[in-house]
Amino acid sequence: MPRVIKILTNYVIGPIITFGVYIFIFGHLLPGEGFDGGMIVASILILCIIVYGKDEMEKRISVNTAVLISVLSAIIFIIIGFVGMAGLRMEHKYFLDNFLPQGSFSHLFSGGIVPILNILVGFSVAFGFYAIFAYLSEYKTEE
Amino acid sequence: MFEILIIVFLVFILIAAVAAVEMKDLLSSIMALSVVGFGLVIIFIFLAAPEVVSAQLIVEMLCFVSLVVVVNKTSKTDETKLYSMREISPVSAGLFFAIIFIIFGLWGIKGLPPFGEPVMKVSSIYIQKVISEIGAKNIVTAILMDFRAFNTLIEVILLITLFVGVATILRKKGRKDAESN
Repeated sequence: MPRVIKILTNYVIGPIITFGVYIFIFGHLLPGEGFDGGMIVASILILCIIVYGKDEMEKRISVNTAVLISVLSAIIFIIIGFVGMAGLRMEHKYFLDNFLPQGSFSHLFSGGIVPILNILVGFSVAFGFYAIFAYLSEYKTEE
Repeated sequence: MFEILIIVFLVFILIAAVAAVEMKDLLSSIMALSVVGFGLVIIFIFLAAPEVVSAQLIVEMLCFVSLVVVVNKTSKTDETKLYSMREISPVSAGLFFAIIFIIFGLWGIKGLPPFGEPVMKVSSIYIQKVISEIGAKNIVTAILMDFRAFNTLIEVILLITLFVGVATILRKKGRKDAESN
């Protein structure tokens, strides 16, 4: 890639990752949720693969690490669902019950498990799509 | 007014979809396909749905980039053979099923509520309970992550299944080859 694109990418990485993380952390207060924020973070990781090449990104975030993070967040999601079955709040005993306290309305710490699930979905989507694109960029036709 | 605009954009999307299927050059076909997605984004803006707009916009961008990369790495022209007019049977079968689909579709549309007047049986309960029981300000996220959290969980598992499929198809060496080398 030309040097101009590399320098521009360097300036863009920070703001866009901050924007994506902001969207999935504030998902319960503003439009956008975990999926949207995760896709924004994934798009900047994919831009890094296109600009710097796959080998350079493999040193920073390897595909195995990305898969591990993606699958671990899904497993934590399921574990939170089983914790909800313990009946911690109002004797509700169903899968994925909102067992945490509500907090004060329209503040960052509110909504019980909603922000936690947002963050988990965001991590899962971001690193999952990064891994898919890393596999796609590795593929070459046999000539 | 909005209904006319929405119908205009829907016709535009249909034309773009047919163009995406019929084009020989794969890059311009991808362009036509992204016209379909961005037309949907404009329709969602008219319908005042910011959540769906953001999701659709980002997914469409990523799909466009991934498809361009895939076309760059594989082949640039569509190599499937077009049916000549002599082979009448596939064309007539397609027309037959299209007519059946249109008949059943019109029959099904009769049962839908009119545009702009949704049936509020379940969603009114959600709107009543979202402040007292969950406390999240954004009702859409509250529905997705609490009332329908099981749905979201299956979505995440679906994404991971997608990733496993891609990794299985695109890996360079099978496990036995790697061991023997």
